[in-house]
Amino acid sequence: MTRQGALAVPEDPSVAGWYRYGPAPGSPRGSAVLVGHVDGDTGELGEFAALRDVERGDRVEVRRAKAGPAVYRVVSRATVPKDELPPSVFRRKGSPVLTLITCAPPFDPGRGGYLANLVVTAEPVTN
Amino acid sequence: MTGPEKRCLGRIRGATRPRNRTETPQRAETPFEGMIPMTSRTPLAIAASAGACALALGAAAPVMAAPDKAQDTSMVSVFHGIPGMTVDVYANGDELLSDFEPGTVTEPQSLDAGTYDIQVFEAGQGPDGTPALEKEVKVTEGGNATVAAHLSADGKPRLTAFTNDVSQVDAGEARLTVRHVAAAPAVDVRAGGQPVFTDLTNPDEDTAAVDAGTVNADVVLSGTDTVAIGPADLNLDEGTSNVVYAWGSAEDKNLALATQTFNGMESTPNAVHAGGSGAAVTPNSSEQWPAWAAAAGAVTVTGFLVARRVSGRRV
Repeated sequence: MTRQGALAVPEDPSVAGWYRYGPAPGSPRGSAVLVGHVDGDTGELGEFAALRDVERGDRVEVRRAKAGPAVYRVVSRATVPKDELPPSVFRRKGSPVLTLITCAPPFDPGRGGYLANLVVTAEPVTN
Repeated sequence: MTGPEKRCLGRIRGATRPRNRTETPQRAETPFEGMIPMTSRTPLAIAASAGACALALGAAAPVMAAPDKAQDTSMVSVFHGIPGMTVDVYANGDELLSDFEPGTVTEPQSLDAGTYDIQVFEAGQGPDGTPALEKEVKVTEGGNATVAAHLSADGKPRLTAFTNDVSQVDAGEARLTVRHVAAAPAVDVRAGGQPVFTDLTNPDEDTAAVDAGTVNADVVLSGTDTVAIGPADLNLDEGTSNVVYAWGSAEDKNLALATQTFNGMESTPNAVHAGGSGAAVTPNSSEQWPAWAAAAGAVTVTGFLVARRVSGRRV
């Protein structure tokens, strides 16, 4: 967390972060949140820039250190103004989802850069 | 030295009615003044607890219709911090707790708002004997409180009612409250060797929001490095409110800590800033990445879209 109450996103755009106070990927309930920069300060694209091109049904695999991969399929993608990111994204109860968040246009350098979040939601693949 | 304990007696047994249901609680007089309303409690939960009350009371009291709003009741727990005495606790002549051991705290229980005559007896002595402690407490509507039986600074048994702050904490944080209910002088409370609370005296409390995690805490005589209790690890989970009781007697060398934890006070991050130079878009672009959702299983995202429409914003 930052002092302003925002989620702390890893500085390195090639690294994603997990919101550790919420559910973990593979958890039976709630929204497991992963965040990553869409691009870096020096012009490189971030890993999460790829979210722009995801499509429904795309497979998302989260590798875990002490368990097998948690596998999800993408069900939705939405952009929301940054200041309207719904708290339900961080819900700790309810049906399990993986939520991937990065930044999205519009981009306005005079107003701090990106003004929206891209939110991709994926549901678990049950075998 | 004793580490933090969290032992629960289970539920407050039975259900007790306020002595005078028609009386309007006088906020100015109540020890529970300033309690935080618990608006999150559901009517369903209240109805369930009222049902349990009616069952336990049987014919001894009129059966109350399910309250039509949550604020008719208050969540009350009891802490026992008088060393060496197992007690029974009565409220308005009904046994509330039996064989209650020192250092334990009950789970919060729903009680009707009103006035209660609380009596603490040495186990087996009540309700016709002489109570070790007696106090009239008013339970105001919609609050959360702990009644503590403890020693005063000079070692006399007493009852004190504390209001529990169960309001939300910021994401990533926990609330830490320390209550000095020990026969001991003023103390400082340290975490990782650094003072968090200073010059705390019986029966006062102090509270702070802290980063969630495990802290190594100890209690020292105020202004000194003389450790009175601890050190002990306190596990402060994110989104919880943690009440630590410093209890016992310095003279009898049985000072100890007991903890009471309330859950469900978490809140969410207010933003995710995950962009940099703008390399992923054309500069100053008003380009919008299209949103879409599968027909099923996209309740959350539907929520996003509705929110955007209502706000009338297009970005």
